[in-house]
Amino acid sequence: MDLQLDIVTPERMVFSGRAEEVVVPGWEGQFGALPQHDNLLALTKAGVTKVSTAEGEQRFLTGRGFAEVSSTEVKGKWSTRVALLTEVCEPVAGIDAARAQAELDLATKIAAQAESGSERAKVAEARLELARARLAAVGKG
Amino acid sequence: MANLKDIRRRITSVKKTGQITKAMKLVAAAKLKRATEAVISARPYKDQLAAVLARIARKASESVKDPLLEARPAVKSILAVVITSDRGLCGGFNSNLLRLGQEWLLAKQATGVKIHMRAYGRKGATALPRRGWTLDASVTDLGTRKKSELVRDMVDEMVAGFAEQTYDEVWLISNTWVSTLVQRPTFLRVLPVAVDAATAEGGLDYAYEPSAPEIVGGLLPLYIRTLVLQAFLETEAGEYASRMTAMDSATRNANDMIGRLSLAYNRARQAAITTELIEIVSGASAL
Repeated sequence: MDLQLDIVTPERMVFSGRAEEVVVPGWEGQFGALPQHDNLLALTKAGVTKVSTAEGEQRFLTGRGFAEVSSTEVKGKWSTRVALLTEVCEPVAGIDAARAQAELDLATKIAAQAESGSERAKVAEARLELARARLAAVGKG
Repeated sequence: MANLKDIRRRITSVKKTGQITKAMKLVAAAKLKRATEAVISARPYKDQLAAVLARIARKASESVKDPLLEARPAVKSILAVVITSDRGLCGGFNSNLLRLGQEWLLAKQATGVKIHMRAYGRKGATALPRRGWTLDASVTDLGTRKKSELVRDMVDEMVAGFAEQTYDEVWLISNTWVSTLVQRPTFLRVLPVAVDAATAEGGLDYAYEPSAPEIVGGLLPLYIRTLVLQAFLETEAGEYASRMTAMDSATRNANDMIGRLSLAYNRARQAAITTELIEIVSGASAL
């Protein structure tokens, strides 16, 4: 049993193929999706998305976005599809710790300058969240 | 014949022009390939977002209310964002868009709507004031800027202006890349967001995490940003496609002209030789 997984960013389709399990950083906590998962629409926050395929586990750093899980049954056969739409998606293995730290410093500076409550502050906060998640992803290896 | 030298000079200059247009065509063709790939690979994201929004809107129509979705009963002022290319020499790419845009804007204005305008791309930024429009802002040198930042700044301004009721509607005026030969000027209403619930397929019931209105609230900014990004990508692809076709026909015209000029040159040279011969013969017989 496996499911169809598509990870899409505004630039391109990052991943499209079969997977056994997906673990996504949801807005209200991390959740996993296995085949026959209930239909679900969830916002995601910046964090690590783990994809288990027949070949092994792949880890991606994904930004804010949303995940859509839909399962349909036709004649006793289930097909499950997970679509993860996110603004950023990069393989964790490709992250450079020094650059991630530099980005975090920059994001912290921008967030500190932004007037709280403004649109700008919200944007800065999202950037900060992504930078923190990126650094955390490398820290864990 | 004094003409000979002139014709030769013409031929050289047309040849040089032809070389330039040919080089421009090749450069545009190479860039076009990358730009169209970007347009095509960006489509899945936009389509999926639109599909999900439509599905939520259909499934939970009464519970989903967002200020960005609400149409205002009386439209008093609109923001028109015109996206053109920075450079010319790409056929009717910009002029078509600007001409149709002008007609569209005049029609809007005739109904008493106040028009705010922002121009992206040097062609629009210079041509629109010449046609008597005042620009709230203009951004040029799009190629040197990061697209994600351009889009973010533009969308922030749109949403803020819409929320503060400075604009009752926001429209995007840009070219859509259909194929290498066809670029279609399009007028797209970005705000309030139009969600086409009728097109949604499937009757799945979803669990929402967090609630449906919150998801919609989170998705709408993403969706608007995607629409704007798509417009930029299509403009870029369209510009290269138009330039490629325009430069291709320019190169062909240059070659035709060289052919005609060579013919004229040979004829003139022959005439000069004949005249000279006659002069020599008649001079000899006069002795």
